Amino acid sequence: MTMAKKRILLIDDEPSFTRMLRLNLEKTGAYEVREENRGAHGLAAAREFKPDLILLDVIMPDADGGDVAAQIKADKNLKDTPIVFLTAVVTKKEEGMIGGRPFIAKPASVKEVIDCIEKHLAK
Amino acid sequence: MRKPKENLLLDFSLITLVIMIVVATAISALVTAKLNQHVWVLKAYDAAMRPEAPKGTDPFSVPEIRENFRGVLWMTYGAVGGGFVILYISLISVVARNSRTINQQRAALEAANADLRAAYEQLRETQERLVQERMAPILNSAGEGICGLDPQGNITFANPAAATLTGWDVEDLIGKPHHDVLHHTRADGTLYGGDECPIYAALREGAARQVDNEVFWKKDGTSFPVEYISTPMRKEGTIIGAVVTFEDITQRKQAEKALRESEMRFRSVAQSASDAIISADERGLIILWNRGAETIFGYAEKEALGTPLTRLLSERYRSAHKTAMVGKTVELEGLRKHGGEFPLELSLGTWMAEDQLFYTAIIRDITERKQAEMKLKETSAELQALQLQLIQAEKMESVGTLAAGIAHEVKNPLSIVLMGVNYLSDQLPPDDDITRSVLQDMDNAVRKADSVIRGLLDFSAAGALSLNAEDLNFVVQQSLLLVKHETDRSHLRVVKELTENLPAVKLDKGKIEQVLVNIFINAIHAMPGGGTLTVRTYAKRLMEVGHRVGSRKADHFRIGDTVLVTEVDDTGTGIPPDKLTKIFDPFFTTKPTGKGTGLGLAVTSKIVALHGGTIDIRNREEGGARVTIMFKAEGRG
Ligand SMILES: Nc1ncnc2c1ncn2[C@@H]1O[C@H](COP(=O)(O)OP(=O)(O)O)[C@@H](O)[C@H]1O
Ligand SMILES: [Mg+2]
Repeated sequence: MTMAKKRILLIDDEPSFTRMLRLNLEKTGAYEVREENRGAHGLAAAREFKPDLILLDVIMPDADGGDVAAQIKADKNLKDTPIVFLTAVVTKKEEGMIGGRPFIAKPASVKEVIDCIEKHLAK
Repeated sequence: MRKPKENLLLDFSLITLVIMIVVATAISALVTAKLNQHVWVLKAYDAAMRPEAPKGTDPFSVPEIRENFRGVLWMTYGAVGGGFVILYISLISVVARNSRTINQQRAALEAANADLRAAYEQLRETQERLVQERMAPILNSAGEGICGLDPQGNITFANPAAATLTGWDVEDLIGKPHHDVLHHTRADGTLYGGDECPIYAALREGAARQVDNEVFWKKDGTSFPVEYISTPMRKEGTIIGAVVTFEDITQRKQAEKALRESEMRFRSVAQSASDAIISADERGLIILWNRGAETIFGYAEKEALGTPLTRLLSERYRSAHKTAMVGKTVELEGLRKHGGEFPLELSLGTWMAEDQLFYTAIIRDITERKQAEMKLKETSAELQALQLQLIQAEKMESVGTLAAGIAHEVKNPLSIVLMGVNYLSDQLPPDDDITRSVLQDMDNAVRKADSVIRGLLDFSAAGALSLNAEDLNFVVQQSLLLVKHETDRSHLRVVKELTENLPAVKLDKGKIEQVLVNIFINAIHAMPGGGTLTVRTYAKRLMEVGHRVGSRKADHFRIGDTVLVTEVDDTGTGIPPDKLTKIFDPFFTTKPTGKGTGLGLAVTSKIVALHGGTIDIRNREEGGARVTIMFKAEGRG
């Protein structure tokens, strides 16, 4: 039986990272993954892709992860979409942007990422 | 001269005359007596011849006898008298002749005398001329003015210098009253009467006078300060005038004034100086003592003058050789009148005056400076400590910033590598063990790299503390549990000496656990062949000033504070002394790559410092190291 694939949106400015993660997730066959490397386009991508879960980088050259998360949460269609930050919590600034929301510390193994995704999709 | 000779002649002839008259009289008397005798004989003869003739008849009554007798008498007189006259005349003529000879000789003598006199006069004139010829240039070229005065005080002579000095011509001066021309008014402008003039006094009293505080007046009406000497001239006991020598002492007066002023200035400078200014003679006896010296040493000027300079120095320095100090500034110990020793700065100079050596010492009481220096030293030591702390803090700060940057840059690549490895691992045929082990190594390498980054991040993220009142012993126990695996594996004996009922302390439990684990791990690493790890806790009330204890801002604790002490002793290798200062530096490690990052103690000390605590590591005498951490206990201080 084929379950509907979960839609995962990756927003991170590092293309090789999003590609590597996408390949790993797609390989499981359980996910449909979309990469977005421009933070500023995060909201638009989310509106268009309507993901089940968003993995969001915190520090990007063109946008702050915290701002992008706030925009998404402000969209009535997207406000319930879980967002997991994907970053090493290095500075106080990041800590503030994450603001107690879930995060995965880089570098994380594929297994850690999938465990985290599943945990939040289950909610 | 002539008169006495004539008198002599006269006297001589008078005396001979008198003698002759006397002799003649005597002879006449004798003749008369003889004649009388003859008369009496004649009378007796007559009486015999003429007995008839009455007795007592005077034979002279007989005219023949009388006539005869008279005749004989007169003949006798005449003969005697004539003889005397002849004798007298001949005598007189002899005397007269002699007298003429004498007169002639006298005239010759007088003539010779006159010649001699003339020659003498000539000689004298020549001599005088010679003297004048020689004297004139001397007088003319003398720098001093020279005037000759007659007994009335009129100028009879003036040399060119006298003219130059007074502005008059020599001819103008001659014949003028000296006082009225040159000396009429005093320096202050009041009239100067001639009767008061010392020069005229010299004329009157015959005493030399020397004056150097008056003025002479010039032809142009100006005056100049003068020094003059007035010397009376005498001839045969009477004063026949005076010589006045004088010179213009304007320059001397100015020099004297300048000297006086400079002396006054020096005195006022010396007196107003707060430094002691002391001069001593060659023997080291004090000849000058200013007020500063009085203040510093306590001796009044009267007490100090004439006493040895050395008594101002502390016993220890008295034998120090003066000459060795000359020209230098040295620091010595001084001795005050009332016995106190004090630090002083001495500069000693020498000077010569009239072939004598003098010393001048300028002495400064540097008690305050010394105290200030001490304070400065203390402060600078404090500052240095503070600076070291700051440098350390800054170092850490920059390491933190760097770490954050690196973490961001490195974590993405690491993520990619890690996920790449994950991706490939899933694709592997089950029998490809070699590739699997290669991928496993890559996985390990990524995780190691990540742990270094995490260490750096710990270091930079240590700033965020969440403080709670904690039981120190509990935190220690928890931390020991975290390293139990390591201690067991190294077969270490763990000794706990935890004092019960310690006061609570505000800690970030997680961070302090990290601190203790770092310290335990270091101890474990230092005891590869086994040993004992001792953990000790106790509270202590700080009662005395010591390292990092005091009243200064930089001190972590103050007297009276209660601190909680954690000591971690090991029996390991200890730390080479030259490394002790470096072990807190980030990345300082003596451990092989992979085993140590060199960040453990850097993070540890930062966390402890953020808690307001201190950490010290020292070698124990028994061997091994001791780490001491102190936190201020809750609710006190
Ligand atoms: N208990 C100890 N005994 C001996 N040496 C020690 C001890 N603790 C620390 N050191 C020395 O200090 C160095 C720095 O320690 P640390 O900052 O923890 O870094 P690391 O442990 O990674 O080397 C160590 O490499 C070691 O040489
Ligand atoms: Mg260490």
